[in-house]
Amino acid sequence: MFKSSSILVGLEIGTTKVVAVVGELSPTGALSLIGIGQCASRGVRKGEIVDPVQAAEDVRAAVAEAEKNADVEISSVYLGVTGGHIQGLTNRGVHQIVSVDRDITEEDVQQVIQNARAVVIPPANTIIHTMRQDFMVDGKPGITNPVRMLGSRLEVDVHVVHGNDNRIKTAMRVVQGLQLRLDGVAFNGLASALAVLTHEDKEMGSLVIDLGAGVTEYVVYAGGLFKHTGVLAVGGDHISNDLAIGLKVPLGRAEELKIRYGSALTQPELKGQTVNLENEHGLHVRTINLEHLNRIMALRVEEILQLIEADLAQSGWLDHIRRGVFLVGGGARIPGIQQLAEQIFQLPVFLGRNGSINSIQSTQDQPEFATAIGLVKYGSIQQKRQTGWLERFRDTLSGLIPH
Amino acid sequence: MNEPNPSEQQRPGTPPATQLAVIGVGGAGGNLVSLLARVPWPGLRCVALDTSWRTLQMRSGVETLLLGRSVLGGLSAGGDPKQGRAAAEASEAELPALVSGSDMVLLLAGLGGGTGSGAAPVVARIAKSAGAVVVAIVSMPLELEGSRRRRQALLALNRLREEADVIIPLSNQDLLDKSDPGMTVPQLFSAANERLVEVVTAWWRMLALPGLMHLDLGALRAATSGRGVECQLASAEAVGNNRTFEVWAQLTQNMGLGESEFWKKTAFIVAGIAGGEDLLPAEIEWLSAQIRQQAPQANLVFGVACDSSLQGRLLVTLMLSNAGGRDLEVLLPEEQTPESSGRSEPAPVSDLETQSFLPPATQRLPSRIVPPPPAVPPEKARQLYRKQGVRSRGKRTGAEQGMLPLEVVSKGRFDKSDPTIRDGEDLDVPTYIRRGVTLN
Repeated sequence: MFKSSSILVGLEIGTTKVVAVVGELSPTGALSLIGIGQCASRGVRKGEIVDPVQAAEDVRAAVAEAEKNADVEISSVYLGVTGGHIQGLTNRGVHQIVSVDRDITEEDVQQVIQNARAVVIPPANTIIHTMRQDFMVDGKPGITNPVRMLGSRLEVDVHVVHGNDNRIKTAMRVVQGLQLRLDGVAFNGLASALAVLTHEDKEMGSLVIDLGAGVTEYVVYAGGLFKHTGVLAVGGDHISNDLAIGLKVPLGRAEELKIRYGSALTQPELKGQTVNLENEHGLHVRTINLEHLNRIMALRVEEILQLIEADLAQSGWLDHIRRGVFLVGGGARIPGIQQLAEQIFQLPVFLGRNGSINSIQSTQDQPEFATAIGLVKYGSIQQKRQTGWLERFRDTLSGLIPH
Repeated sequence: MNEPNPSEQQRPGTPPATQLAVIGVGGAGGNLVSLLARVPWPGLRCVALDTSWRTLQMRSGVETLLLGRSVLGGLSAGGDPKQGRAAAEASEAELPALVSGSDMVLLLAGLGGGTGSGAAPVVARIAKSAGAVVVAIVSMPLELEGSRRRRQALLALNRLREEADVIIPLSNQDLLDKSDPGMTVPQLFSAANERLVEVVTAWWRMLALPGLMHLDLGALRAATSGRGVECQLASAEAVGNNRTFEVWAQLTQNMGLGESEFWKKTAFIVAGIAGGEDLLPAEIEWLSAQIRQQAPQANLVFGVACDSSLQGRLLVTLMLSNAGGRDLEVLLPEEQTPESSGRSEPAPVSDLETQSFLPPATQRLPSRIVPPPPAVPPEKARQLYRKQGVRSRGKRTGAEQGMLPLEVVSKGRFDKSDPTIRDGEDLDVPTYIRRGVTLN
């Protein structure tokens, strides 16, 4: 049984590229990366599919490349979803312990979780993840398992990530149309966090920002638990678009300029500097003011980070982040973004490294692959949950052996 | 001011509570009033007015009055507000008897048709001159009814504004948009009516309860004054452990506020929360947080009432309005005398000012201030409005000016995608443009 299911594939249909990552879960529970396939994405805007036919073609190409690289046949994938429609909310469930001896039983725990799960989400939305947080007994927080405790009032928080049903189904349909089975669907922000955060980072409180091309996702882990979700439908594409409008150049040229000269910080030494644009024959076309380019881009990047900071400050999670901020996604490559993020969040800022999975070094350092790698990681966690008692028993045994 | 009609005697033993008369004008108003008449409500007087004799025959449990028998001969106004108004003016002598003795008149009408649009302003004027406070709850026509009815409704609304004290224009469009596709027309209409009756009753209870933070008609007036205002009313009640949560679920799901497009337009919210002696501050806070989350920009006026009759229960009423979200100073009634502002100590200028629970003034956006329409003395207004009646239609009804969407800034490749709006800013527009940074 474990032979067939030991191949896990994470598929991210991003705004600029489709990435399929193949991971192998060894019987001992170690996860290693054995192949990556990618393809330029053409049917996606702001993280959401706008052209399913085009998107399907790109997914097919990416999966085929991954199959070739990993030398396996891919039959099922874990799909990442994102988009501005995805929201997170935390709901509290309350349950009064009615028994005379005030003994909290397994049924009480089930009941309180059920109460917390019944959240009000818009009718068109569907729940992607529900994550239970710590319990509270009579207002005392931080209880991981209240069974057999005494108390009169049991409370629990559940963090729910939900998004528009139709848009998520569109992405699922694209994958299913290619005769690929869906093992699961996960929110991209969660996947990125799984890829870069160690157990300790989660425990101390970390913010993971995935600066994608179409959307920017951010999640907060604190006390080892998934606490806050946010999606901003603004990303690298917006920077290119701003440049295209501000500098009056075509979008493709703006993209090029962004990669070549872009920076997240305003650099005073650029004042008065220009760069000449040449056409394909090497003839001079126009002169671009680098100071303008720099200012347009820095303002946009700064705004993205400020919006995240404002959201976290409002929800109160900013104070719980003690480890630092992890940047992943293509936007993490913008020069100076670390310093800018440090200024805005007043926290240490790291480039996210995909530390949770064994692979060659070069892949680990690529922030763009964090989501797809995280999806593999997510898959491995799901798979462990689904295995039967025999496997769990074997896991326990293998867990005793240091590896 | 008219003397109270001697035929309308105060029954002995009735407490000196507010005497309320509910008057339904026209088809929609009549439907509502006959539904309201079934609600056990002491001291309530229900009257249905219509031009159509046949419709009036169907009304049960309410007093009825046929308008303009001499003009229309018991037929309907045929969707023409002029006919409706002429009918009401022909029956003007009979109207004061219906409202005399009432401190407050609640006028219900569906605007857009003939009788509702034409007769409601006349009834409001007469009720007002009989000394009653006039509150008009009117429903605006659905989009499917066409632009002509919409224009008629807007014109009638403007006329009504000159006559009534508080006008709450309701939009039913959301109900239609969100309704189950399998729902039949009678089901939809009765659902709309029942919802309205439920909400009106709940609001009335809320206004009557002695409040810790009292809500009064002033709050409603503040939320509904201005041009082009539409409102949505909602109410819910729940008991038990998770009552806060259930109330909110009811408000969002049953009342259709969950995914309502209306939240985006909402600039003014009046929320009333009533419970027994066991009402917890956390419950109020949670509900307030939910409301603020839906419409962070809106002005929120809060009322809280505790009454032992509501022990263990939680009653929440909400009114969302797209009234310009302006500063309350602007909204204070004009009757405020200038000498009161001359005092050194800022005296509580109105009930609303002292009892509201508003965010500090800095949070309000100055750009959303819309000056109130110029004050016209009632005599002059009536003159103008008579004049309008004489003039041929055509020009007048077409007076409403359409607005073109003002797209100043190109959004490049995001022109055709869903805008990303956060805190009222379109994030697809380049940051440097929004922040006014010049490149030179």
